[in-house]
Amino acid sequence: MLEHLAAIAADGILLGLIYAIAGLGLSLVLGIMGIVNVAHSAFIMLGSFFAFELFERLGIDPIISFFLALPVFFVLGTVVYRMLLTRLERVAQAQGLVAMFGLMVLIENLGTIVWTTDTRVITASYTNSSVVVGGLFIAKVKLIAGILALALTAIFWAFLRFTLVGRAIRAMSQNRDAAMSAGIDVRRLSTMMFGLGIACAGAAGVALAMIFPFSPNTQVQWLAWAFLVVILGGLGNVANTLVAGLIVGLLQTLCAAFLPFDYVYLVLYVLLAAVLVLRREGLTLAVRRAI
Amino acid sequence: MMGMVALRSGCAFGLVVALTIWGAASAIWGAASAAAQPSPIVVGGTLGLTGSFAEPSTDYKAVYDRWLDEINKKGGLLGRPVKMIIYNDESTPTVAQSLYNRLLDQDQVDLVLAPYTTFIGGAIVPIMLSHQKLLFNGGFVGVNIFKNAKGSIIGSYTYQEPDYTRGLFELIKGLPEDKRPKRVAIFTAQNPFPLVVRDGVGGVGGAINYAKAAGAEVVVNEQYPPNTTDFTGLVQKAKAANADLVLELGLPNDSLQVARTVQQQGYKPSILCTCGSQVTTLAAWPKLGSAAEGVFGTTVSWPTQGYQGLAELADAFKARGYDTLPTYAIVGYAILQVLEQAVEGAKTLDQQKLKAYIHSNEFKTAAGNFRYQEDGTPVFSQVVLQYVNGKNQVVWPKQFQTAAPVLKAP
Repeated sequence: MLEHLAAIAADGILLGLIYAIAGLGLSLVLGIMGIVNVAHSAFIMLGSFFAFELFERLGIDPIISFFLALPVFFVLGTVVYRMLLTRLERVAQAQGLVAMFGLMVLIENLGTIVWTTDTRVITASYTNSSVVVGGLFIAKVKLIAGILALALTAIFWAFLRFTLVGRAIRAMSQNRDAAMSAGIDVRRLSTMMFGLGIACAGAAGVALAMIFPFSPNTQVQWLAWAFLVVILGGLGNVANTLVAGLIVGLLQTLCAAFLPFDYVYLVLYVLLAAVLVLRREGLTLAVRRAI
Repeated sequence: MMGMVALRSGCAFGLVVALTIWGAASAIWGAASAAAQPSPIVVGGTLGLTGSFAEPSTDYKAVYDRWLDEINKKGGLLGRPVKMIIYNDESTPTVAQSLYNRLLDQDQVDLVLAPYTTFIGGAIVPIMLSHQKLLFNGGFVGVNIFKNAKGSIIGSYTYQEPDYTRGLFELIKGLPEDKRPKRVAIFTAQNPFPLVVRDGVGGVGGAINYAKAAGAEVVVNEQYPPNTTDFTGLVQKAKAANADLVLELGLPNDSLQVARTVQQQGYKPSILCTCGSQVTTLAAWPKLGSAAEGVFGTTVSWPTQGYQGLAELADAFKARGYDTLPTYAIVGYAILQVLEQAVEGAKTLDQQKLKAYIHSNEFKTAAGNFRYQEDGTPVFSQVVLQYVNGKNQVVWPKQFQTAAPVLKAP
């Protein structure tokens, strides 16, 4: 029994770490900038195909792609911010949402044109093997993806907490006008923050592609998971996002072990509904300044 | 001055007369040409060329184009060229419905092809029946849909949902007693199609009934929602229950992930069958690496069986970069072979006469030599494949075996 519980916990923690980075970029962009980035999953999809192309064409291991994705998607995010989001600063929130939705549809359709809807998998040398500890089988690929996710979360946490830019970003999220009057270049910081959010989505896409099959039109499922983590963890807080990811992962594996499997997602969605009811005002505050 | 006017009027008159004669001549020439060139027979249908079903739909389209090219090179059907109209239904039932109305009412197609998958196909069947047209269906299965259409849907899938696991259990029955799996775990996607694969219809067929008939106990019977991402919990349940036969009745993405998770969990059931879809014939399967090895799957036919046009079809897909021949390609081509042989055999496009001909004759196709049952489905046939050393091998039926089944030691 103990062995069974340990297996559940290990799997739940690793899954939770992966869910956490799927939601991290969304949480930061929504919490700090007030942008409901529904195109987040499209950038996750691009991250998955970034890893796929590097693996298939150049034989680059997804672990390396994970780190390569950070600067590449950061630049992509800043370009998207400059080209699209700066034009939407003064439009109504609903129009901004529609624009982001349009961006999601555009990226997904371009993805379908380039890669078709064929199912893809990345199988690296460690994908099908496991680490066996006291009779527990822990998939190496999940362990690696979990460690990468934890490292990324730690880097973001440290960046926002200890660097001058990070503090400025936090100041901007608390009071944009006060930050401006204190001489903070809000436009530059917003561009950087959005770039970081997209970098996080790209890296999450790589981590997800290491573990799960994917295609341009299936990655949208991660948007629901990302929102689940964000809503549970609150907005713009790295540590809370991590904890929320871990709760979702552990809850999923516990329910899978002790309930009929088809109840697992019901439990998760009931949790989502409960959190939405109980923490509604937190969300409202964060999206008040939404694009 | 008057002379100039008269001259101009004369020229104008001459020009008008010349143009009239040229126009009349062109019209007569055109009509003669049209009479010499018979009007084409129009075959129409839809495919989800974008959206969720674009992957298989693209394979169908490649097969349709290939057949169209072949048939027109052979001189068409009934001495008339063949034209094909395939609209994109965007993998959406409502779009498909309006497109089938357009095909039947505006385009007035002579022969109708089904779209891909039961989700779309089920939605357009009432339109077909109300227009009293036959539906040449290489796109979907659906035992109840066929029954309700009373033989007006002509299929090329050689087995329907309740029989998806039938071949596997026939194979198991043929194993020595001590090698037969005794404990079964079934994972089923919450989707009407795999649920019928599991439960059968009216107590007939279905994995549970076949397992019971084979003397095996179902120790895990779980269903999962379509958006399930992680299958570790399911696989751990089957492993804890010592199931030696695992049936994954889901769609390709789920099946790929289940096979990978089984490997990662160090779980070695005697048989793991991805019997809910023909995923082992898809391009993604070999990419799974060692997790793909030893897994069983089912399909309608295999190039080694030598059915009409099958080897050539496999070569054509190899040229398109496919390691293995997708089932969609086989059934898509087979239905066009049935259509071709039926029209040429019955020498008519009359739907009732075609139906009568189809139900009383045999057809040689890439999916097998068909005889049709009353409901419009071909008589059951199936092959069970096992993926061994990077290749699919036929392990059942025995007469078509290319390799003996390899059962994993627990």
